Amino acid sequence: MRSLQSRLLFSTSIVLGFFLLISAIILDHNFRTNKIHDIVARLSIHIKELMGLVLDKSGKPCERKFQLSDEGYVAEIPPRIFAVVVNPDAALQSDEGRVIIWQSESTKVKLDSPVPFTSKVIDGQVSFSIETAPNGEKFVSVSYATFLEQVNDCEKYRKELDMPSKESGERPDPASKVRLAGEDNNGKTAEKDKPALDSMPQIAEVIDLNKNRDKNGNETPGKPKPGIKPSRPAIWPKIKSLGDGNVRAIIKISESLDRQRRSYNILRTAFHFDPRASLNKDIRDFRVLLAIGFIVVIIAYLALLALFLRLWGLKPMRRVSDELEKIKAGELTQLAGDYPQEIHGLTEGINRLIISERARQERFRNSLGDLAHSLKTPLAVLFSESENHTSREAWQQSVREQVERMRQIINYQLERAVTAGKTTLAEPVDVGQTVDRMVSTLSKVYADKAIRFETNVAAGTVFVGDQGDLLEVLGNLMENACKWCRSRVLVSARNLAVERGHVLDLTIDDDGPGVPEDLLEQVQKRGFRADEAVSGQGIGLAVVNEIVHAYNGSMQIVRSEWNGARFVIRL
Amino acid sequence: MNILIIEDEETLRERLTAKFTNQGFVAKGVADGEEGLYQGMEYPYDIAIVDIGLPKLSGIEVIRKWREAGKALPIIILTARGRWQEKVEGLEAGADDYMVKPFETEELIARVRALIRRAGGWSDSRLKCGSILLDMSSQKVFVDDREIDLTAFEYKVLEYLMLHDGEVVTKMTLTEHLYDQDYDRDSNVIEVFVGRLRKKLDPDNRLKPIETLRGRGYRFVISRTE
Repeated sequence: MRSLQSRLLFSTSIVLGFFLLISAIILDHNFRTNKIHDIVARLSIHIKELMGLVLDKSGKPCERKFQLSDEGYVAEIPPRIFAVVVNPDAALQSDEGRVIIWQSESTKVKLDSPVPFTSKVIDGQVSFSIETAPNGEKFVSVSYATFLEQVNDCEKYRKELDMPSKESGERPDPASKVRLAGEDNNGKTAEKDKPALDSMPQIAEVIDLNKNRDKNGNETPGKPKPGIKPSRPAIWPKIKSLGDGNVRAIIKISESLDRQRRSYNILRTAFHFDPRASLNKDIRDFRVLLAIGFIVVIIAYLALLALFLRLWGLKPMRRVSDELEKIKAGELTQLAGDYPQEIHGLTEGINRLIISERARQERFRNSLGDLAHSLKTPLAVLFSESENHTSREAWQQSVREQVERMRQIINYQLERAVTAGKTTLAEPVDVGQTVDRMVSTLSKVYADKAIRFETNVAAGTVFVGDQGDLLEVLGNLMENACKWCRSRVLVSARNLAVERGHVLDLTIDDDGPGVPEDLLEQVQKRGFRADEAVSGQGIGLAVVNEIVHAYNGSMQIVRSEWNGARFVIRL
Repeated sequence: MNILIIEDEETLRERLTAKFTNQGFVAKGVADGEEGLYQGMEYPYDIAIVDIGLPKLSGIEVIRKWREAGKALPIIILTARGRWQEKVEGLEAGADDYMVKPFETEELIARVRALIRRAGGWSDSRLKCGSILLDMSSQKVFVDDREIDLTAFEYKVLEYLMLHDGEVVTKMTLTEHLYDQDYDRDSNVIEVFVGRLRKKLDPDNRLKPIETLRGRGYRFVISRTE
């Protein structure tokens, strides 16, 4: 992420990607819901067909719709009414499976269609079988295994159905039954079941269940009467007692393993329609389409964005670097362009930096020149002294004086060169803290004098500039005050409210004799320099003066209220 | 008084060592920060002069480490740059005074004397206890305004005792502070000096300024008159 452009592209594409992801999730969800509704609609059509006849208490047909619920597709069935697949083989071949909701109270319910009927095991709980009565009538026998607590005696629920007599001739051929069973039992048992067809394995299974009940000694379920022609079991919606007398039929299309397989098989055998596979495929296709679409959108967006950024968006940044190059080459002195608001601060800052850097260079040049220049005088004095035949003591005295003078000049010029000066990029310095540091330092140095320091610094007073410079100003003036005071030094500081930046108002008072007139005049004079100062006393003040000028500030010396000196500095 | 001078510039170090020895100090010159730190940690110096720009370990670090170890000796820092920033840092690290190079050696000696005196709790360079007056700046001793003629070593013993007046000063301490480290320490010499000092200060045995605590050391007993 080295270039600004790639940063912009990256950040915007992350945002875009985020929104696309959210919309993808929403679209996907909608698609899925719509698809599922679609499937439910199709399913319910099938189920309606599948249900065929539903008879109410009075024996009249009524429809029960399966509705999607947490448990799967559920239909409420009135008490003691059972579901029966009338023609599973037909259902296999033509999607025309039928259901009879058979009411237990009525003795005979007529079927309206002349279809063959086979026995059923419903979820291992209920079995139906066709029986032929002595009078030649056919009826359905129902056996219960674990189902319906309110039912005590299965015999009681063996009800007759008035079957049309021609039905027997239309028995489905065994092959299709076998196929159904095979699919039902995972295909493996198909071969096994085939020869056992006539020995009624499914009935035996029901009987086994009934035997179990016998062992438990609870109920005595009725056994299917001998001689009943067995038929293949078919899986049908699970019928579940709700306890309140209602019975619920459930088609599971959930993904739970065993159950799912069974219901899956039902649906497939019944409708030749696999809603899950179809749903998954549709969703997969939709997702691929969505992903491709979104990738195309992102690529197109990035390409366009990159183009616009290059042509227009990042143009000011390039102009800054162009102008900086020109400044380096000396063709320009400042960044001149009219820049957008966001980088205006940056370009202003660069301009200020350039100005202050120039001023600093200027100062370095000047102090170097001044240094060389001002050393000439003491050197000349020494030189001329060496030519004179003065006494040894006078010569020593002279060397001492001139060396001291040179020392002061060097100190002062060095100080001048390192003064940071007004930089707009400086961090604000806490003045109160700096004054406290200075007080504790000077109390140590002037421990003998037992000076009473007083400070009056308004809370939050800051100095925008170099901390070293502030220390220098405070150090020189406060030490000066310590040197000359009798016992008291007062430092006050506050910020003056000025439109741009903070101006520091600093006052240092002492109760000494005050500044001598000649020095006072010199200090007040503009351009006062230490190498022109008469004595060592002036050097500190000259340094302060220099710093104050570097910050475009001002220094005044007046009489303090204790009749000593008061230095008023504005930085 | 023994003084530790940590200064890497050889000429200056030798000049200072010579000058302080000349002034009656036991002076030890050291060229780098690590050696200086070690010296200050191991030996009971009365004062140290530390240059800020030292090889191996900066002067400020040396001072900070001494102070952390609880060393209370007075310290003067020498700085070449003279910026207040540096002076303040040095003083905050634990130094007591500063000198900006180049400086007058006389000025440095005066500052050293002042700090030693201040460390002994005296605020004036004239230490006065009853009728005995010791002037540290002129290194003269008066009893009842009469100048007493003392040898350099006798003066050093008296100065040390008076700076630590009221405290028990062992012979060991006296040898440590008044002799070079390498000197063969014979405590009998101290007894001889103290005996001579007593005679000179108090020929009539009237003032009894120095008390002998058998097996422990000496104590200057006349209280201060400020």
